[in-house]
Amino acid sequence: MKSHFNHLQSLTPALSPGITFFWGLMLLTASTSATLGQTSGKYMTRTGSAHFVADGVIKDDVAAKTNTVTAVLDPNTGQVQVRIPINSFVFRKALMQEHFNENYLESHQFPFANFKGQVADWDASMMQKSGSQKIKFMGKLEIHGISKDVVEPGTMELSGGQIRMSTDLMVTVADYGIKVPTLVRDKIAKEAAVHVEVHLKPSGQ
Amino acid sequence: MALKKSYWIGIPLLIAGLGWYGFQQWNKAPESLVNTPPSQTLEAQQLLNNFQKNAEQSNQLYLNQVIQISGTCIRSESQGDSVHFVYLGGQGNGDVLCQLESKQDLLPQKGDAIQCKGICTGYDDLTGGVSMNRCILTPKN
Repeated sequence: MKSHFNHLQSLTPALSPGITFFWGLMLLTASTSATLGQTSGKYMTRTGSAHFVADGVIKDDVAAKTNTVTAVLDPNTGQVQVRIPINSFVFRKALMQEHFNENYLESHQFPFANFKGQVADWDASMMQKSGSQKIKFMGKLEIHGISKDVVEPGTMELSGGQIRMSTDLMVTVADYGIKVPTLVRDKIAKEAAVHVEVHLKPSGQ
Repeated sequence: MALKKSYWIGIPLLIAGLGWYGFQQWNKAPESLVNTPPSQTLEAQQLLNNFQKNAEQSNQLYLNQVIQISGTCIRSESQGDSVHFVYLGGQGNGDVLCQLESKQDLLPQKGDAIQCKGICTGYDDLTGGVSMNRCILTPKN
């Protein structure tokens, strides 16, 4: 940052210290904004929802929901990033929530599930269409520190300046190194049905 | 004879009691944080600064912990009747998103000084913000 100031001063030798300070502040602000998020011109949310069900022999219980999913869409390229805080999943049963975080997903070590990828065949005209559009998400899904290439179907709908995106996917527990104790292995499903839905707004709103 | 009879009554009662206790534990809903003391109390801006400066170190301090933060309400929003959010921030970039545990009679408004206790679910470098859930608004000391 020091070099920015030196460069600025050499270009504007007649500027008063106050003006130099102002430009320095502008540079600092721009630099910080670029580091944090880089969401300018993008659509985003921090309050998307995700829920999953993994019923095996134990019915209706292995299910949880969160409402603090972060998602960012770049409307120019169709790039998508989704981040789900693992510890934000709320279960109906405290014991199950505790086991999910401490034994299975180890949220202290792997606090987020991440998706980083792209809407397949993204076209800028998709941002003009009304009604629900069928899309495909392609990219890397990382859960429990293990990353896998995925292609998942989804939908996208524009409404009132917002973009609603959703997907339903099946996550195979063993694929992500999640170890289920032998005692309950036969009682819990090997796959979890996950639904994610986000309502994206232009960043800054 | 009387001793044998008391075994026949006592043992099934003990088994039933243990079963009942296990059933209660298994079905217990997650507890409210109302009576849980926070492990850390700090300003929302300080929490943000700490995560933005060193996320790894801050994860060790705050992640999955019950913490209490205070700051200025940037905005609040609801999704339906049961999901409510309050955003706290300060002077810098980013904010702290708090999902409230239950419906409040009156959600805080922009500019209100508030204090909030909840579980820190982590720092999100996509947005430069910190999230907390199961939050409750606590009276300012």
